Amino acid sequence: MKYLHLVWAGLWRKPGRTVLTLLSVINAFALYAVLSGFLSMMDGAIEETRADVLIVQSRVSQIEPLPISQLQQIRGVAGVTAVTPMIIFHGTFRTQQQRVQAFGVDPDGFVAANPGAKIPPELIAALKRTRNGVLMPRNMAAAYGLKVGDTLPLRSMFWANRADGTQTWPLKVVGVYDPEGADPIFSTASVVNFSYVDEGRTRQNNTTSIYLLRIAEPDQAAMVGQAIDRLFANSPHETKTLSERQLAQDSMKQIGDLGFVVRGVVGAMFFALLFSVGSVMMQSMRERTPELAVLKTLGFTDTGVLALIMAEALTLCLVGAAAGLGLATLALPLAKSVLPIHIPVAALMLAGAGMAMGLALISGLPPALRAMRLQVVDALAGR
Amino acid sequence: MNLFKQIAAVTGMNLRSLPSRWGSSLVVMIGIASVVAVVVSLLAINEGITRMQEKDSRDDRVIVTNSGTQESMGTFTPSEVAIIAAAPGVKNGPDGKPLVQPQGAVIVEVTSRNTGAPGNVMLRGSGPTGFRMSSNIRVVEGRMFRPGVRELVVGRAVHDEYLNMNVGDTFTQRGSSWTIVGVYDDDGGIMENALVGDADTVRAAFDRPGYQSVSVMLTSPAAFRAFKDALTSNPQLSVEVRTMRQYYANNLGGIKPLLTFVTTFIGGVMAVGAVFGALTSMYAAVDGRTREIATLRAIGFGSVPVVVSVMVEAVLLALPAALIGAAIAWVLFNNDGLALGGVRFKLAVTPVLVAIGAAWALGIGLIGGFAPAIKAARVSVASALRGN
Repeated sequence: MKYLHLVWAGLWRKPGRTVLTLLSVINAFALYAVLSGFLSMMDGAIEETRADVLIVQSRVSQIEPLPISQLQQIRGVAGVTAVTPMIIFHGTFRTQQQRVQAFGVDPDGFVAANPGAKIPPELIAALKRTRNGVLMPRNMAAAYGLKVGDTLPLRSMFWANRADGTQTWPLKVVGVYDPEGADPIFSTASVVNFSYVDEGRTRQNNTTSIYLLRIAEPDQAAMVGQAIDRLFANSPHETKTLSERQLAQDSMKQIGDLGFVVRGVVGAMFFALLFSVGSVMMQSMRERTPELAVLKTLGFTDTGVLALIMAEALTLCLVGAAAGLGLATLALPLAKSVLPIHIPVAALMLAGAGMAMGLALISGLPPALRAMRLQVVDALAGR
Repeated sequence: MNLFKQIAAVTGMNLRSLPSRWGSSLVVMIGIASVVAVVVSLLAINEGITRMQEKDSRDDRVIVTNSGTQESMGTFTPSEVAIIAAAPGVKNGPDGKPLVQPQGAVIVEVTSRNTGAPGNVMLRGSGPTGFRMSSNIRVVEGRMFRPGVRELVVGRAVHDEYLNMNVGDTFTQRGSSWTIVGVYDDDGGIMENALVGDADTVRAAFDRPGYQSVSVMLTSPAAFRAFKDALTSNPQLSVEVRTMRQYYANNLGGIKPLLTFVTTFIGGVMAVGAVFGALTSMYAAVDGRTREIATLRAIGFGSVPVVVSVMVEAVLLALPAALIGAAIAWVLFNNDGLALGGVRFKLAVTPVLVAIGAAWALGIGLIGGFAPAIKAARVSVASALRGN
């Protein structure tokens, strides 16, 4: 500790250079923090999904209908505590750009399966009373200027309405709910009556888009899923049953290997940083050759001088890393309003400290070794 | 001595001293090269998508889908196909029949070779007319499917990306089994991302009430407006009419702005880091030359040649670094297959991208060289020559 002021004085020998180097270290670690924050946001989105809610869909694709007769068979599978059909009833509102995500659900079955939609029971009761009712999340109601009692003419992507043959369905807003804390698939989706859609459409009656089911034990998800899929294997309506979590993981894999991109960028950045910090340390050591010789004359050991230079490199890298990571952590809550980004602070700090030490070790070692091998006589003579 | 001679003399002198400062010059170059390598690699993804899309983005080929629904939900009856075939602007084939192909479109599930993740691709129903319209498509392995039999040809991208997509493999989906009899190539176009079988066989096997879309060849791109108006104003149809260019732009629309944003953001932050690195090295270079610069000023050289010599050095370090960075991107990623958002394409490092990378490098070099150049010009002759 008593040598701290020596380390400090060494670092600030040329303030301009030190500040620039510090800035490039800060910059690199800030980018590293943002990119890791992005990756962990992706992982976080997966973690928020449920492992005990399973979705049964057609093996062919999510929009391929399944016959409603499968409901009883699925209910009989061991481990299933509740199951409910859901029609994907997406459409648009006033313009093609005003998208509406909606699900046709059977209110009783939906409550029993409790998929984490956070819809209060009185609103479910209201939906049950009004055949063409719709419950929507508050943010959507606000965005489209809708309130309870209004009519929402939804233009369905998939189905024509038996009443007039058009694709427009006159829904009536019977409730607005707060999706805070709701399961991701319901945080942006509205809910309508299954029977209204199924009986009202001109084709594909008595079918459902998916079944949503709740199981007793989350770790049995794979087993229950396979049991259901076996039930319908080789029938014209083969199913694919996956937990919400598995679905989220699969769709993440489909986007592409984001981890590879992030590792590549961070790798390139730190490779360049290694050279820039290393060259600054080397330069600073060369300029101080006579000073280092004086230190040795005063009784500093060779390892002492080595430790001094290494301590300088370490201070530079650790201060830079802390500032960079800190800056990103402070700035990210601002971005949170746009992206649900969050930084796993503890893990990031740990990884960042490791990287900073690695950086200091590799970039500081060559000049430190040179300083250690310095011969007092040669150095003072300027050789 | 006039200004230009002065500039040439000082710059030449400076450049001749570069080898003695190779260490810090190398640092500038590595910093810039790494930025250019990352930026060019990310741009190559965007370029790869554009190329794949452009191959099949024709203005005289049109796809008719049911309005308001996804293509795979379409239900075209044979009589509706006949109405479309009779619309103005439809080109006739050599046999005198209109070039109109009713198509099947079924989304099927496949498994990635690399990650084991399930993916979705389009299984298309088509026919001889469809293939006549897509002149780039040719079967490169095996043979074409036969009508009336459950046989498929697979696009090269699908063949490369997913499991069990080889000639002779059996593809089972929804209780129906298909034999893969061939692999086709579309010159790298987006149409390689599909499985193709006979339109009527696909329709029967997947129990579709009709065809999902209708593909049409027009006499010329100019015929599009009249063709579209004729169909959209026809009360017997409720359809959306798009050229293939519009169709693909629609399907891939979201991906490209996102990629551009990511590239600019990451490249921008890295460039800031490289500027700091360049500043450090260029300041060091100027410091090393203080005496030399002061001597030049003392014997009558102006400050402009000194500034220019520093800037020239920065640029001359930046440009080769850009080429090295672009070369790294080219070696690592050019023609590399990448699956993104459900389509597979090849990354493309083009001369334009190299030029964009060079522009980034030039920007970094000029910004990183500017402040040190000003410092060089302000060297105080007297104190520098005294040695402090």
